[in-house]
Amino acid sequence: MSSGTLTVVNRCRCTIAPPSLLLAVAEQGDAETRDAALRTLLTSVALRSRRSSFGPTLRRFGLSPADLDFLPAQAPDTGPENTVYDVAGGEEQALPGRLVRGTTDPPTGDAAVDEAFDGAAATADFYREEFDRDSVDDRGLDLVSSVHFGQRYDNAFWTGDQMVYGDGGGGVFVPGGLTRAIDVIAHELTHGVTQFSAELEYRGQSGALNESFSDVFGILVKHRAEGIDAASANWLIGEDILEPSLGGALRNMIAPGTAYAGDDQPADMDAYVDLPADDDPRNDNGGVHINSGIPNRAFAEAARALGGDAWETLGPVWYEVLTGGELSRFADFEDCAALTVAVAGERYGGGSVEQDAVRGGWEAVKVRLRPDPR
Amino acid sequence: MRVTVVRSGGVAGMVLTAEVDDADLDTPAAAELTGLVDACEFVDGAPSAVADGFGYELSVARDDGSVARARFGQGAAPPGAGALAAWVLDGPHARRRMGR
Ligand SMILES: [Zn+2]
Repeated sequence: MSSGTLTVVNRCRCTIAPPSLLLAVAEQGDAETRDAALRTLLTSVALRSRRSSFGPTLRRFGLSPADLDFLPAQAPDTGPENTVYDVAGGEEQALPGRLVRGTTDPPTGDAAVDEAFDGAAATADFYREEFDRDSVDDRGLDLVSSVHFGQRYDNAFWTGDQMVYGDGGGGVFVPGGLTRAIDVIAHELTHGVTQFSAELEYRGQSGALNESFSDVFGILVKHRAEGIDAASANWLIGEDILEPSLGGALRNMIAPGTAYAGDDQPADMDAYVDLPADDDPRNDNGGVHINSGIPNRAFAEAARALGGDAWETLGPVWYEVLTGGELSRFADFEDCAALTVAVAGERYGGGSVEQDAVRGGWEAVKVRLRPDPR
Repeated sequence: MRVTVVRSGGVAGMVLTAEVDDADLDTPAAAELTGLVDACEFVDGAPSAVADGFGYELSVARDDGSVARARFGQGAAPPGAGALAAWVLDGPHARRRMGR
């Protein structure tokens, strides 16, 4: 599964000599060699979008970041590799399967392959363009997806280093449903983002927060891709991919508990479902997919009150909370609420409409707001 | 003999329970089920190592009153448990119900 086994595409990450070597050449070579090495070095810097961190090196050559402006503004292939594999009905031991689409390949005509590819690309673009995050791990992790997992498998998941999609059709999802919903793809990839940032423990309230961050960024990727306004959004996760007899969506962020028949997500803390985090599968690790309805609604209420592009209004606040290093891996709802209010205050000002909206969101779901924890 | 499979979690977070009683099956299907139960090791496996992995509980209540049970996460089924769970969950024989 390592990218080294793939067909090598001519991309910056694979072809640039180590910066230290180029630096040595640039400093010691003759004028022509020096220019070539310097240019290569600067190109690699630009391609990796790390101009700011390269300031000291540039200064050694009497240059500033502005001197990089001769390079193409939008360098090609700045993102990680994006590859899709066909695991052809196999399960864990058969992953990732056979490579069927690489980063620069055209669509294959297999909807699962092409949707997994597009969903991974849209999610990585979202994180890079909105938050300057370099892939799932912020270190350029290649995007690997495997489709056609198992037989009529009704699940999609992030293994810790790649995406996996079943075909659906097992009674819960419509055939093809698991790759069709971009919010579900982004939900799963965001489990990877959480894995490489706050590492929220997947049990009890920290687990429900883990689930909720995945739904929040899942819906934001969808809103951004489809230009949906927070004021008029329906806030459904996984719309129209369940078997119709079950219901219309997996979750409803603004009205938890109404997405499908049997949806038992609570809409506020009064209805919190206190389940043990034990080995009984009915208890869902202490209700991680159940109580996530509470922070989900807090976000949706706040974003709806503000209206507009939620990925630009509150997306950065939730992203800073998830990745800023202050959210404990054992955080509960009150910890998360306090941090979102504090970060909204830092970003928009104390008493700003944005901070008031965030506070109002948590109040709507009856999560107690503590003073700024810091 | 009644065989019950509970599957929870997944990205949907739904609890699905599927139940089949060999008394309700025709002879070939009942024999298939008995074969799968006999081949299954009823020991617990590791819980799912991934977010949104499925969690399973497989239980068999025999006519003599004995009960055998196995709980395990996606990808960690004990020998025979995956095949038995799939037969019950995905086959045409079980009564299925959503919810805890
Ligand atoms: Zn999840």
